[in-house]
Amino acid sequence: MSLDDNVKRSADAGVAGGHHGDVMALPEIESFRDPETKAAKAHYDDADIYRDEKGFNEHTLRPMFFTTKSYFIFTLALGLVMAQGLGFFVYQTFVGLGMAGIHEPVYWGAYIATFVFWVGMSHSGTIVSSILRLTQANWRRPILRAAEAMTAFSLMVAGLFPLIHVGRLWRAYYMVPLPSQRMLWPNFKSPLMWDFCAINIYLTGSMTFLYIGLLPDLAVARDKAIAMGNWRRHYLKVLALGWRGSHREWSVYNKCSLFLAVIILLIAPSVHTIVSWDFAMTMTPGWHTTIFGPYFVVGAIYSGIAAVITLMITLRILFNLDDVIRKFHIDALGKLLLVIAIIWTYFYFCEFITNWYSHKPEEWEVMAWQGHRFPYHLMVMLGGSCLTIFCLSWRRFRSCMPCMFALTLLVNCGMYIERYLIVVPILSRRDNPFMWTDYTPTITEVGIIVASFAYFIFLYAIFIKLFPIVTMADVKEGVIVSGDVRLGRHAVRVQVKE
Amino acid sequence: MSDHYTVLGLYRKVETITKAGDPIREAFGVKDGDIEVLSSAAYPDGALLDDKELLHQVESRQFLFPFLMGFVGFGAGVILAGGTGYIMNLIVGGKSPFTYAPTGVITYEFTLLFGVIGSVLSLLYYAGLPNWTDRAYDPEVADGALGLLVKVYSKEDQEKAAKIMEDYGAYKIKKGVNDF
Amino acid sequence: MKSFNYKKHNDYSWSMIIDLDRCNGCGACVIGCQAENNVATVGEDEVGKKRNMHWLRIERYIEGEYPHVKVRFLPMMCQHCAQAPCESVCPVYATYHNPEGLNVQVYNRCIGTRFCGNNCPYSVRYFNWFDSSFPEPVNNQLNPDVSVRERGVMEKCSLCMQRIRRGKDTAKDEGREVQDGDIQPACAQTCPTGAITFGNINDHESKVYKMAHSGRAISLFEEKGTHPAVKYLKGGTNDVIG
Repeated sequence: MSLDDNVKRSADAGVAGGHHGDVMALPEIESFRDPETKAAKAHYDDADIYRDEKGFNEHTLRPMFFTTKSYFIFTLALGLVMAQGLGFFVYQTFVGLGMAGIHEPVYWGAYIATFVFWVGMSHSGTIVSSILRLTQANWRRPILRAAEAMTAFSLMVAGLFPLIHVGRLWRAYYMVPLPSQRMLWPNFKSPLMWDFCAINIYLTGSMTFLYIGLLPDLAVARDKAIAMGNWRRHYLKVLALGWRGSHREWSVYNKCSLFLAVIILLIAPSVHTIVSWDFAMTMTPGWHTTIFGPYFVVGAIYSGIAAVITLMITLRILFNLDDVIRKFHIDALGKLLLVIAIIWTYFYFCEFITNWYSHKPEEWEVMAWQGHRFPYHLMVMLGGSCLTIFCLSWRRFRSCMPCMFALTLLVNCGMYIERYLIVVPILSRRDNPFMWTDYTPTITEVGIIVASFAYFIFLYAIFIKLFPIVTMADVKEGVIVSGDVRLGRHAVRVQVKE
Repeated sequence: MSDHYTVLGLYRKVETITKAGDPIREAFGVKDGDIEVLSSAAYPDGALLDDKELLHQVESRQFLFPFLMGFVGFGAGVILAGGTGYIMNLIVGGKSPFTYAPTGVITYEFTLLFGVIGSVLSLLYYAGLPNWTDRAYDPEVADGALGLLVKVYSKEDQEKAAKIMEDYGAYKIKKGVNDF
Repeated sequence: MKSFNYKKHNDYSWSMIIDLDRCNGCGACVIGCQAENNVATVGEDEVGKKRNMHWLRIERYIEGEYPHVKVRFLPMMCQHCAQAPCESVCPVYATYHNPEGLNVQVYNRCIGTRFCGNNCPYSVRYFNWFDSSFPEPVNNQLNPDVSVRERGVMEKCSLCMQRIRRGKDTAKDEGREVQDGDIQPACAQTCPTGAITFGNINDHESKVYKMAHSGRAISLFEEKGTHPAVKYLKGGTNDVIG
């Protein structure tokens, strides 16, 4: 089947023109379909909604333009949670970091664990999105935006934690290489400096990725906003850059997306590797290990994909998007999560068994300390590996929304505790036995960390009201480049790949 | 070339718009860059209009932007991490003033940062964005209509082009001046 | 003992030798250090949370089972490592190695990431968790030669930098090199048993050089490869730390 034929066929099905049903009638194929072929059914379920483009636009832009009362109440509640965190933060800044529970040998505590967690969360979006873009996985299309936005926002939250954590916030700009009379220059030999560069560059990259992906949809939203006389037209006009959807624009745009996908795919793993090097570059037993780079990256992707699933299910329920984000998507993401869970478990085991077997006293001490916190480990084991791998192996579980919601939350709880177990116990049991102590977070730390979660949700809630949350252009493209082929009694959906 | 005139014809079907492109080009000898198709989603190159050659030229150059910017970033990274460390010599941890591994890490990051910037610049440069002026456009394009946009240089040609478009099935015609 | 680059090119390379056989754990050095360097007192509660700021602390180790118990003391301060793990991880060069082999902390540069504290195997870097307070009569004993640190910066033993400066200046005025006994850090001055000796290890006639080459000298955590400038003379019978 030639490309042109295929384009014509799918277009004739009424997608591009907005009027449909004249050439290839979908219902006719439906009657041909063997009800047993579940895969085919999943694809068909996908296609239904996209046939009427105008309706599709209105449907997917609805969360953006129409706001319910409960939304405002919810945002207000988030604002209150953020306010208490801000209060704690301001108090801590003016009084001193002693407000946090960290002390002599445990110089990094829950703040840094949370920082690692949020950086990890940011690895879902762009990495998943660019892998799926590059492999041209068709099912990716509706979820790209939501995932990319997650990257940008979790990085924005993560970026706050080093600032909350430093002793002299008002001098934190010393890390920026500004040539000035101060005659200060950052030390590029420090892993923190690499981290600073990597996080900022990743933030720039993922924001760009998000924005470039948003561009055609901004144009659609702009047209709608102008037609409705909505106030959003003012910024949408500016941000859409005068996008018209000319073929030249599309062609250049696709190429640019490809570049960005490749570059982001190179940046993202390096970022979490560098975050892991904040630990691995030290000579602290337990941290100083070569496995940390890949281990952190896999852990990041793991918690990231779990968060994407949680988020997808939430969006689906809250904004009535169950015909855009289908069970099929959650199922596919679940398979991806299963693979990553297995890889992560492998790393977890590798890290454990090398320490356990060599039984070096300084490393063993850390493990013993962790061993006393068995419930934490149980949580990591269950959430991180055993339970997840078992549950995700069943298709029925993967397509059960409440189950997946609960499981992905459990995964992220497990991953949070795992980060905590990486940062804290190792500092509690350092080389010098005279300085061994334990650490518990204080109310200040808990308050700020809770507020960070509220801040993330808040950013997301604001984003949904200002920008289109479904990747409309990609979905439309998906319909254009795919068509149906009959194979005996089956109907198979095929997709053109360039 | 002081003034130009544009005609934007809106179509509903891929079939019709693909038929309308060639007659217009033949009638006025329109150059590659003077005819455009507006759509709400990306069609494969050449699916709607025979402009593969022009786009091919653009595409073959577009990669130069991120590529060359990547080189700039590479240089920036080496100078920033290695160079300044070497000039402003301060010994830490018994390490030499110029260190390969940390310079490599920073250089890698900066190469990619400039690559990102280069990609965006390539988009802006080759797509002619941003352009906030009132250009020939119709909001129906966002809802799935396909627009055929042509640029001509006289009023009569504009009328003629509009006629041809109508003959080939455009359901809506928009005429404009200097807004290609 | 391996010597590192700086030592060859400079006149001075400061070193401190602590004789563990002579230490009886009285803690006078801790007080001497605190008075000399304006080290903040943090109060009972904070000390309970391990937030004490003593640049020099006496680590107490108890050996054996009752009734055959032996108590050993180890004065622990910044070891001024030649290959200091704390220096290279600081993103703002707040700590670096000076040409005389000292690991110096620049308080005004420090932004308080505490990375150095995490990478110090000896755990001898201290963080100012709160603003230090020196209520009424105490402020009169503050040493004008040493700055009082702001909250949010790291601090640690400087081997009494101010005294080293003064000793060098005096020697320069008199037109000679610094000799043994010119410079005495507060801890060495206070130690009643004379367990602490300070001097220039580049001078082969100096006390510290001789002690460092006496065969009893050890470095703490030698396997870490940090090459400290502070060395310990191990005890004759009970080798607690070596």
